[in-house]
Amino acid sequence: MADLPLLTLLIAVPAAVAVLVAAMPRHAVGPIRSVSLVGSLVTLGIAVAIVAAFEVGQPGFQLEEQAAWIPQWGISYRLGVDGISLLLVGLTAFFMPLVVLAAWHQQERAKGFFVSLMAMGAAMLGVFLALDLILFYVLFEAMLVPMYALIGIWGGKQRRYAAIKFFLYTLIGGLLMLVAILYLYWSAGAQGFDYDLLRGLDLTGTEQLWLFLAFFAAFGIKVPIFPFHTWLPDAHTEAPTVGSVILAAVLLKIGGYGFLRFSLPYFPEATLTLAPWMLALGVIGVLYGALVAMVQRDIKRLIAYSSVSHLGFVVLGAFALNQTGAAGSVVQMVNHGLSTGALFLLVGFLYDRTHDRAIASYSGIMRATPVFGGLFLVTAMSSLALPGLNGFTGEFPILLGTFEALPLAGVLATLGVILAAIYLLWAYQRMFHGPVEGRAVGLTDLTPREVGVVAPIVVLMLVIGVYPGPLYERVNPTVEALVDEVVAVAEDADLATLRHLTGDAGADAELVIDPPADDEVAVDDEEVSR
Amino acid sequence: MTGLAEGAAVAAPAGSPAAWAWLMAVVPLASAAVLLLVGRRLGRAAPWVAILSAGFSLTLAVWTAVWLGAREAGERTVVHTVATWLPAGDLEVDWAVLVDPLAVAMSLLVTGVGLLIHVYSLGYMEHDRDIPRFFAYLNLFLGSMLVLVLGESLLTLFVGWELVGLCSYLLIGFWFDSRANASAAKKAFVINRVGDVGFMIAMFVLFGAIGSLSLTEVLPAAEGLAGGTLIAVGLLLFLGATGKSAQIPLYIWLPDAMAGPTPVSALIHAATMVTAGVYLVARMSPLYVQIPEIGLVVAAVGAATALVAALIAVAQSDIKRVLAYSTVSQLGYMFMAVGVGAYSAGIFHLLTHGFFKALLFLAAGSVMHAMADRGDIREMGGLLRDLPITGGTAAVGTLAIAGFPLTAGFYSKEEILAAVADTAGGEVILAIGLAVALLTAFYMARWFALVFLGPRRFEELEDPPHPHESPLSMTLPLVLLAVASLGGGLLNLDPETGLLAGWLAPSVVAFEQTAAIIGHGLLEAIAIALALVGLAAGVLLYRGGPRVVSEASTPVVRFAQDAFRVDELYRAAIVTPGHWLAVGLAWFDARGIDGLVNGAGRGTAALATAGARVQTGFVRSYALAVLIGTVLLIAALVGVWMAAADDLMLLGGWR
Amino acid sequence: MSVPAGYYLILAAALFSIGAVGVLIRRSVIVMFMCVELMLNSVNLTLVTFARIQANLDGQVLAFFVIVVAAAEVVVGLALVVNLFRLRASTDADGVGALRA
Repeated sequence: MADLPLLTLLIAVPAAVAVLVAAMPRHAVGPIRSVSLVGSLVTLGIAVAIVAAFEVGQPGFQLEEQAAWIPQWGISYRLGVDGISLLLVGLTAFFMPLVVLAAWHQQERAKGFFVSLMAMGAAMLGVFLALDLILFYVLFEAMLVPMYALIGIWGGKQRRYAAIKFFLYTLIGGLLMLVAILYLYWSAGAQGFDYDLLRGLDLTGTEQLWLFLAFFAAFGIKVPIFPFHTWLPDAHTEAPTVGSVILAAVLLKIGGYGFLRFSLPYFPEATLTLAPWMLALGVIGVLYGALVAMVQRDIKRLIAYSSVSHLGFVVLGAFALNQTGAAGSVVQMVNHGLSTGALFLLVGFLYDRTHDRAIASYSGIMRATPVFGGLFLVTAMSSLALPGLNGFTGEFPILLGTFEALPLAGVLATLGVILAAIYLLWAYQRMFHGPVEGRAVGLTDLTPREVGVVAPIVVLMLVIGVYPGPLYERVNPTVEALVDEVVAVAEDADLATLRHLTGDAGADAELVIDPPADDEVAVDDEEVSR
Repeated sequence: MTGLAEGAAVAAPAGSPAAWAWLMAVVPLASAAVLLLVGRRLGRAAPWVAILSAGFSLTLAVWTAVWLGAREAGERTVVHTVATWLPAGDLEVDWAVLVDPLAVAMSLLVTGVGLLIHVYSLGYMEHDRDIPRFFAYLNLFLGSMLVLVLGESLLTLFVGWELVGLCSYLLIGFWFDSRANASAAKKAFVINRVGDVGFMIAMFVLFGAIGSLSLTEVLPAAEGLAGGTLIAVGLLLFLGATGKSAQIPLYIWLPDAMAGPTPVSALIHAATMVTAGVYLVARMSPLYVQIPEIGLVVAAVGAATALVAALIAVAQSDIKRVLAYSTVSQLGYMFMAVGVGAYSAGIFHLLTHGFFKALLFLAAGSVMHAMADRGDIREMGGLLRDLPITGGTAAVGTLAIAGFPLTAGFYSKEEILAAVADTAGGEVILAIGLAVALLTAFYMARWFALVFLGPRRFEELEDPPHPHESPLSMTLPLVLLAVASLGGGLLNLDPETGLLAGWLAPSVVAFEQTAAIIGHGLLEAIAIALALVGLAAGVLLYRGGPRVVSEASTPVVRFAQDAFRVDELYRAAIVTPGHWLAVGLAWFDARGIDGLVNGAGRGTAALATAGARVQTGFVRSYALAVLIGTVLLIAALVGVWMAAADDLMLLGGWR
Repeated sequence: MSVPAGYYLILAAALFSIGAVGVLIRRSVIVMFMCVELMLNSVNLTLVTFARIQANLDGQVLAFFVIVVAAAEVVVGLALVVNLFRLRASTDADGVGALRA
């Protein structure tokens, strides 16, 4: 068991299933979806095995696998998992069987649909596991194709516009990142593209700044950060249900993941310089997304803008540059995946029945379909971060960490909590409460299959809400090492900025006036070595 | 005596009720989950599941109280950790319970009144189609409130704080088929969240200063906090309290919350949840004791709220709205008490108010039950004859809230006024307190007179109801609460030596009282006189029915009837501008940002169109272009080569 | 008796020019096609000539490549022409304007 290349298997299984399904006859819809379901369940099983094999308390990469790929250029096939990626891999694998089940009755070009789903799964899992920048880049771009197909072929009325917008945005960001990767490669003396090799390069401040911005183009668009977010509402609205689910649950996480995995450790000085700006963008995202969500008429657009708001929290946590914020940020990614993924699934079930996404078309759904209404309410509550459900366990540490880093940002972001309640409850009240009218008349409640798709997510929401310890146990060591590293570099590089960030102005002034005494230096050294 | 503030918490001995106290909250929560999942299948057994779990919690609370009472006075602060909850980076929060006198007093109130209201609902909700859901929510509330009360950390307290807000939302909107109810529920939740933001920021500040949110660490450390931090935390926590406990400026949700079923109004919006803010301030007393000037702000806000709400209550004509504004007003009274540092008085009033206000609401529910859900007190009258038990117990409640001598409300109100009278700078607050005492007696007497005395005006209605006394499940809680409202004063007959004051001493740190504005004997006499005058005036004026308001005062009365139009003010000042801001941003999003994006797309397309003109479609013209291009290219290359070297190998070969 | 290399090259240049002019002025796709072949073969001639001059086989090998490519091109090209004829009942190149902007 321990000798199995689990990480490779995790990517290979969905990829193989995609190939297998592609080879099946077009009209064999039944076998196609059965194979997909079995494949995704096997993937989930492998992910569970990885989680079981993962040793808690270790900050570094585990279960590493490495093989030469293009040795001339130092490109290798290297996979590994640490606390941050473990959670996201788990989230991705968890959603795969659910989206297959959710798309169970897909009839129109079913073969291509399931091939896209499986290819998407393989690429996403690979992105989280890749520890070679070329491998990462290839998989990062490989995700584009199936997603483009999902939106462009099986999407709604404006699908072409949305698909092209999505494609162009991501591609442009990805290309800028590629340029930055190549620059890193050259500045590393052309040794290779290994993750660790490119870490801790001796870059000047200006270089760091530009490279940070290039990576920011890729990840900031993916998150998405204001003002690069407008592809998201279109993509979400036009994508088929499972497309929206994958987009919300996993794809957007790659932005936050990229910041933590690459931007912070690669460019610590630039990170420190730009952290206040990033926090500002995070706050803007939180408030702007929520405010715009308040006036949406289309329920899918509303949820899309709520994503913009929630992922602003992820940015805040990542750039608060303290353990609390960073750990919260990773958990928030998982939580947002669960709650927004579930919201899109539920809205999708509704859309399947009525083909109408307008909030105003519904009234009194709760009375008509209590199971659906109840599940939606729990999910909405999770989304607005009600304590006791999962959303809160990520959001609170983020806000706490942000407040520690920059009190004003923390206070402003906390206002997002009110706005979330307003837009979600407004939509809920409008659609689910009141007399049964409009399209709610004659609505049928969820089928057992549909309940089976959403129930695991809701159970997980409750479990994480009450007992998020297992998540944090795995994330904490990794982000602790990460934050320590960034802060240590920062202390070397620019003491004043850090003091400013942590709001410790007094200590700053003191240190500037008096050269540090010997014992203070000793403390600093200790921190660096840790 | 050593208490929480001195860090005297000890671990709960294994097997003691304190080690099991967490079940008090968990059992109702689990029962709520069961009822939500399979409640419909349980049918008529569903309410009994809920009642049983509420009974379990009450039993455990009583057992815990007895156990705690048997311990040494200095060892009555007990902590039991169940599991780690949130270990996020530097933050570490446990699922832990803090069993101390204050928590036990609160949990007794919550479980006691809670159980009574469960029983009452059995009769009241008998004909509702969603009984399992109702009882599930009640259980959920009970569990959440106990999480709030027993939480050992500010964050677990906050969990309960938010969850009771959720229950309030669910129960106000219980009859969600009506848009008004659903809207009231949303309003309550959103306004509570405004307060919660204050609570959350207070936690951030505290965590930044102390590095922990655990009450057993925060409270002892409060003494060493910087002045600015203390003031910020004090004000922010109070902002949280104004949301939950319906004080100025966030009180406007509570009157609308009466859209929920009456037992809910009694339990959540009168006796328990809305007192959470008072509990919070009392809980944080080691912090507030260092900033008495902020305490005075708290008291002043409480006094202002008490006065405003009492004035509005006088003009209301809905049987539950009068009580709702009365609740806001009485909560203001409690904040007056905790603001001047008289915590035992504040908690005392919290408990007695829990008794008599729950009683009044349940009585109102019983009246509405009898009146076929009519709620306008101008259409009632003379119901005492039809509803002797309801009317009698309501009379007891009215006397108690008015502060009639020897009732529970008399003692608790008296202690609050006395504490204010001993506070430097408390003159205005004291005056307002006395005015509110008069107003309270007056509007409650008006309420009672219009409902139970005088002519039977409802008989002139179309389709007149035929009132009849409610069933035993409803009258029994009324009688029990009436007994508590009469005898509750025994809890604390004297502010210094009373049972409750001694009991709470380890949990709260009272302020030093520095002044003596007025003698306590005289104050007591004035208060009694005001209560009697108010009661007499109310009964005499309204015994004959609603009074036609004189022409001159009409605008004033209408203004009070409209609750001083605060809702409209907020709508104009906050809701509408907020809406337009959101609309503006959405427009900016669609036209501004996306305009740029689409503009870039269209620009590229235009450029391409212009460039495409070259493409004539004639194959041969393309070929000509290729040829010319090639020739030019070769010519250029040859030229370069020739210039670079004379004896190229090519030319050598040519020769 | 060997013919000087220059004559071969001049011949090749002449053939190439004829081919190029033919492509440019003739309207029939078939004739244009033949002219393209002419150009290709003139290049072959050049390659072979230079191979002789250099006394190695590189140019001749390349010429074979060209022949193969030309053959492939004929296959594809004629198929296109046939299809074009079916579609339009003419082989007039100017009649095909699908690439016009």
